[in-house]
Amino acid sequence: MRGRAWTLGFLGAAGAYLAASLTFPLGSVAKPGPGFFPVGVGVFLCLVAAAVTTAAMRGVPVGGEGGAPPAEARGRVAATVGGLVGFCLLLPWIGYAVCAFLFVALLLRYLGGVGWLGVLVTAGLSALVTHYVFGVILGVPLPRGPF
Amino acid sequence: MGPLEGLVYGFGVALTPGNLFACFVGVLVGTIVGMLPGIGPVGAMALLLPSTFVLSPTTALIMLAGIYYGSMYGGSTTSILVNVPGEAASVVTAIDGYQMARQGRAGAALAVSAVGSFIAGSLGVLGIVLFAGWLAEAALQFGPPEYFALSVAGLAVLSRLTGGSVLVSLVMVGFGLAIGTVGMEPISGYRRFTFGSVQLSQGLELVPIIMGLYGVAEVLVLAEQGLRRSRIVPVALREMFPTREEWRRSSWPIARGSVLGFVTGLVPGPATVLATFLAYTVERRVSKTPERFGTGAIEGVAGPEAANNGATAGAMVPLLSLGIPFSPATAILLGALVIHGIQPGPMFITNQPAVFWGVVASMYIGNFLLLILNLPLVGVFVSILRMPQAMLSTFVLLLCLVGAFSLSNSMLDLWVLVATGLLGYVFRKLSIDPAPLIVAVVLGPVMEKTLRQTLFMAHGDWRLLVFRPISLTLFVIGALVLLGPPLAAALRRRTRVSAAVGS
Repeated sequence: MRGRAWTLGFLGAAGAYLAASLTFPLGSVAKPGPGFFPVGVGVFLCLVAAAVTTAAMRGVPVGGEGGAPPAEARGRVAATVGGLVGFCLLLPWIGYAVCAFLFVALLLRYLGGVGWLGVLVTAGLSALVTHYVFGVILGVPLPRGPF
Repeated sequence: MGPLEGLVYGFGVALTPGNLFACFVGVLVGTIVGMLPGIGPVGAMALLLPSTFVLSPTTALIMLAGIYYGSMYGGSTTSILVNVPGEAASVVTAIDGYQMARQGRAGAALAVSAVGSFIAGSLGVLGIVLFAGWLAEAALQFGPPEYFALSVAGLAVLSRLTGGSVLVSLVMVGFGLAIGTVGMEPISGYRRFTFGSVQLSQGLELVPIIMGLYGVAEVLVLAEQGLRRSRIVPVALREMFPTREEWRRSSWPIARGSVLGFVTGLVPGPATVLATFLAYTVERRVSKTPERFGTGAIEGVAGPEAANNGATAGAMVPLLSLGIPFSPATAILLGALVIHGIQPGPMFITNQPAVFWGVVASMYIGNFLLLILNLPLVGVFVSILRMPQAMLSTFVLLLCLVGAFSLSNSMLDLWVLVATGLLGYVFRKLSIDPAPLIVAVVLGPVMEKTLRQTLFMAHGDWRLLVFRPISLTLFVIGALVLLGPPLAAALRRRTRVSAAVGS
């Protein structure tokens, strides 16, 4: 059961969605309001999520039977997610070019396989090329930061 | 405009320098992303979508469609040479393709795969010409109830055909529909699930969701596995010619795979993946020597490779003639058209002949370009695989980040990308396919609009929704596909129990 606890997450999310949908004006069948469709979706979601949870509790295979990855692998995933979150947090403050350079350099160094020179060249080129393509050619107003 | 006249007109559109270049870029990018385990065709299409804003709708669609079918060619290269399928539709090719490579027949496998893909792609173009017009005419009979029924039936079939538990696929459909309700409601302007955010009033963008679920999630999976460098089987140009016997063995599998692939493409679901498994099963069944499959049978390469290309062409038919996407890739193509103010549907061929015929003709040209790219230049593409995977993965992530931001210059899209990336990784660990979620995000607003239109029209009489002939047929098909197998299994169980009690 422990490995299938995620199905309860589905049920919880479905319940929360239905509860929020019920706060919108429902209207009637002849004149459906903004809440009509979301409530229908919420009821459907709760039913199928409950069915998945019941099936999982009865031992029916519903996915997720594999084990957790080893600690080292989890570390690499966490570092990558950390890099993505860091990029989002820092982008408005330090600007795209510096943020992209730091993101590529730190991630490349952590994920391994590339020396410091390769890291610096790749990070510099990646930041430069993407800034030129998106910021200059496509005219995207990328955050500039204090620089 | 008749089919032949339309095709000639389409070649006129597709052969202009700008469109020809867009086609080349599309198939080139498609070949590369098909080869590289990582971003995949859907992620690459989503990534390049912002760069098509400055292009005309025809050019944009030609480029994005090129990535879609081009990736099917590229995927076979890594399956055969490295035993690492670049994308899911090439998994089956690796079974016999890599065995052929180990026996020194990698060149022959690549050549048969490329020629088979070209034939299937070309036949698929003819299929689009024949079927899209016919289906578009039939779709003129469709009103809101039929579109609602088609969306429901499509999602039901998709849930059944997507791998894994049907119930979990239905949960994915539910979450996709739920995501589609975020933002300003189109009829009264009521804000739903916006939590006071102005950015959320516009709803959640599809592209960061797709980039996250496919691109970012794939990189996270690769990071978990350790980002190894691939070991490549070398292949020389002189080995690229299959023997006469190999051609003879491949011809019928290519023909069967082309037709099977195209038909599978018409059905909602992971058509390209499903088509390859079906083609492989069919070839093994019809073979007089099925024991050769798995040990380097060229039929096991020819059939599936033709099938996945046929399926990409088939999947274009419902999109172009009904305006309904049945897969994440066609959902992006729909998004590209909508961004340019074009809504595909029954009148699409009549109202936008340049886009329709231009794209159809470009697919033929693109298949020809792919044949050139994937035979003599295979060595060049394979050398990309020698790049450290950490470098490629990091660059892909950076492209996803800047691509998501460029959609509407919004930090919200970046956070959606990261959140859906993490969610996609969790789904991968739980063996859950996110395709039903993506398609439901697109179809959700269509379903809500058509449902409410129908109920308004019928003054609340729900029978209008169900008992019109086309919608009833579609609902019955959806119900049969969804409920048929478990009901049949229950019936078989009951019969066995009765027989056991009787005896």
